[in-house]
Amino acid sequence: MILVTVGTHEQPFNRLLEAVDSIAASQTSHERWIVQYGFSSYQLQSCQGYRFVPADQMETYLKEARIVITHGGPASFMELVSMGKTPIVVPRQACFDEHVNDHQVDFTRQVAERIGGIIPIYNIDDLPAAVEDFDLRSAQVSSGFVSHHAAFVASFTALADQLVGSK
Amino acid sequence: MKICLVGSSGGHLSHLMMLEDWWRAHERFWVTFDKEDARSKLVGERVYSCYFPTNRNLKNLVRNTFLAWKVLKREKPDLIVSSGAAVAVPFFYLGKLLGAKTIYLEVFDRMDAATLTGKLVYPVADRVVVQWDEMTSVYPKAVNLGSIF
Repeated sequence: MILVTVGTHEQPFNRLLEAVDSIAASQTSHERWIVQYGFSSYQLQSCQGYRFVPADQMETYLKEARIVITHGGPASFMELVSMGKTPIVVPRQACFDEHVNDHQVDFTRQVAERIGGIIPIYNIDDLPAAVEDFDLRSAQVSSGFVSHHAAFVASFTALADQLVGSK
Repeated sequence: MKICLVGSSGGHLSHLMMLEDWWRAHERFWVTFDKEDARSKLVGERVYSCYFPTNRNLKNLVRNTFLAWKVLKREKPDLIVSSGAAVAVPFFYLGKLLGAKTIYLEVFDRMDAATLTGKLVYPVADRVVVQWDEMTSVYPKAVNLGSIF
């Protein structure tokens, strides 16, 4: 199964949906495509689409998916990186009216450079090849990033306790 | 302690959700947008709905300021935590006035510049938490706890 998620931002991301729909239409493997399309208006033909996916269901899909394609919001893809699962990240771009500015592009670029573990796509024409050669591309960008979540929460807990008193 | 977790839905709310191992041990309530993702994440939690859109929206800032006063007077939290965006502003200022402590957590995707919300709450934030070293020069009093992910 291939999962596509565009997050909760209130602008369409039709450029991505059109691309995944055409990849899904042309594939011979009959792999299932699940697409969370949010505020996009493009009508999917070859994928199962959901406007939003409840949090617990999303967690299941993320675990099951062979490939995850996401927009450039950290909450949508960083957890995958910490799990060692390589997301294909397509940042929203202002020039296509997908976001208010290009911060997703800058952020995606920074993550690709500093952390790795993602396959960034800045030109949508590069998406089919990234899906086609996923295993190879994924191996090329493997990152040493390990989850820092537990350590972060422990530090945060100490900070809050110290500030308020541990009542 | 009693905690007020306040912010936009979407990625900002995801940041607060990731602190679950901390907040689940405490009395708490939430202030966020009444949107589908927030409803699905906050099943069983106590939630106040605030007005949106908030970004550079004066009318909703005013409405959320009245809401903040009403909610904070009623709930009297010991600590207010936010990761943005703009709805944090009235809650931090009025919360401070009513004697609460405040922690602002800057989002992971800000690596070298302040957010507008960050700049606005900075003067009344007791603690500013960032996730990148460069951000400690953007917010001099910030503490870098590394990645939340």
